[in-house]
Amino acid sequence: MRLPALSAALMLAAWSGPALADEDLSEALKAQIVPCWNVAALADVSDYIWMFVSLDLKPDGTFGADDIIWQENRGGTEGEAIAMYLTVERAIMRCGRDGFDLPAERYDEWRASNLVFVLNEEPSK
Amino acid sequence: MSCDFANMTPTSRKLPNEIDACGGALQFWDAVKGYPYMKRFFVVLTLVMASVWASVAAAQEPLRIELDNPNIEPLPFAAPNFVAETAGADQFAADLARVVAADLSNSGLFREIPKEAFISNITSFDSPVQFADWKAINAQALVTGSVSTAGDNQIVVKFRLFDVFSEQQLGEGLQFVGSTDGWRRMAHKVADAVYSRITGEGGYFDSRVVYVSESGPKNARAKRIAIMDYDGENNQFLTTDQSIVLAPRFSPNGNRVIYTSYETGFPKIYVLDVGTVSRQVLQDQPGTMSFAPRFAPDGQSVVYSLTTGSNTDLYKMSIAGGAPAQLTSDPTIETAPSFSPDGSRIVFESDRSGTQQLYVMGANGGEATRISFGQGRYGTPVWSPRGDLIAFTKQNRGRFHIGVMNTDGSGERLLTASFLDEGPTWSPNGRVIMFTRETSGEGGSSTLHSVDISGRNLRAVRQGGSDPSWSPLLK
Repeated sequence: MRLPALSAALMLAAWSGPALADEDLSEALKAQIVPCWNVAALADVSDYIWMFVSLDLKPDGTFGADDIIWQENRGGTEGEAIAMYLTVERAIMRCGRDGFDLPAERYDEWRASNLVFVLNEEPSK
Repeated sequence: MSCDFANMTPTSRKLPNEIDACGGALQFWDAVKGYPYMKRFFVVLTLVMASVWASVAAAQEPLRIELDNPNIEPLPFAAPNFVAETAGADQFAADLARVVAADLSNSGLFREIPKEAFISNITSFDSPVQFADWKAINAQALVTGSVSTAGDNQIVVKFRLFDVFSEQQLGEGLQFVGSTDGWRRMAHKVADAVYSRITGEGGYFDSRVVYVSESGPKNARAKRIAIMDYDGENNQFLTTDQSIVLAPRFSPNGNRVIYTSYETGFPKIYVLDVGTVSRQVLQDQPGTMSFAPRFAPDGQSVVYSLTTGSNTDLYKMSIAGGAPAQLTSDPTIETAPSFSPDGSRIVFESDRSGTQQLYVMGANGGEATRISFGQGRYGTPVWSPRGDLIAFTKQNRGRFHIGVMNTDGSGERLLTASFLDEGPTWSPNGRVIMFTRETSGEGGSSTLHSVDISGRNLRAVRQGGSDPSWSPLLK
């Protein structure tokens, strides 16, 4: 469905600012997790595995073990999914052991995050 | 457009019209279009304000991040000496930890942290783990264990596995009881449990390999059937070197080995009981040569090649004897048969197309489908225990390769290249392939090598060996 031009422009204007800022935040958190995400344990797995976890952070960027929640997964065997989750949990635990470095004044924006980890290319692609 | 999180890009924001696809608010805009001008102005203003509010509200929605470029580096782990809980268990305590660490390191998926780097040690199996000390040296997994001796040369081995950074024990602790001379097997079982809990795959360390042991110069090489642990240890000979032996293959339960011997001057197939080392000839049809045998997955029948005159075809017969069934009837050479794990199909090599290629047919014969189409010759196909891949030997442009392909022939990947690589066999979990590598020249020798199916972690396992066959995981 097409929206009237004026309204669409106003809507886009209203959304454009925060989107860029969010991207910065996302990239900042991503950059702090990636170095610790090691999938050596799944090195011989060629299956596509998709894993969605949620992460709740405290104002100082730290978290507890219960703040990482395995929400959903696709692909791979049950054993591979568990192994994948362990790589994800280990990555967050290792690189976030001293708390993630994110701007305190924007805590409301990063207190909760949804992280999707993808191993290997999706078959249909 | 879908509300499905999987379809969103990492930082994508739901635009209002996209939200509608999830929430159904488009009907609201449709209704607004019908209002008079001023009403429409206020409605639009309201809508804009709502959009701004929505943007603020949306900013407090969870961040969305997608990560798809992981690192692949061996996982650092610590395996301190097991705790000796009784007098006389000290040596076992050190040896068990050493073999567990070697198994994990040899897999290529793990990297042992040297004991010299340890800040603390495990002195009591049941004491709480000081995770901070292991985090400080970046040990991501910690294997602790204990060993105690009991009467009648028995030892009791316990172990636990910890994920250091989550400070969690992975799985339940396990205990093994066995004879003192079986301590290496217990170490392999511990390593299998660790491997399985971290990778999600079955292990392969508590397994054996039967192979042809070779000694002497190339022009007068003595050959014997031998059996060893997967890592080359605990070598034992099963036959003498009085006659040439070829192609030993394990039965599905690992209790028997089928092989070809020239002791009568012609190749004949024998079945050998690994426990008693007793044997019997399986196929002894006068005037024929039988070779390249392999068990069916049920262990009750055998498929093999039989040469009559100048023609070689595939046959199947019961391990209990009886008349063989002919599976192929081509005027060409059909050999190296291997069953699919479900027993429904057989992959084999044939030169019926003019060059040596791989074919798949039903377990009872019938029309065969060619699956290899690349450059060069293909041989010695072996079906993966997982059923997903076929390993093979490939000769092309003067080089030999070990490779794998999907069972329909697609997705061919060459894992090795050398003067002569041949005869692949699969680890019980279908993740590692062992094969023979032979060096050139008069002084050339054969060495058993292994490689991951990803092509990584090429390792020499044992010198003076060829034609390996990997057992299933031991019970």
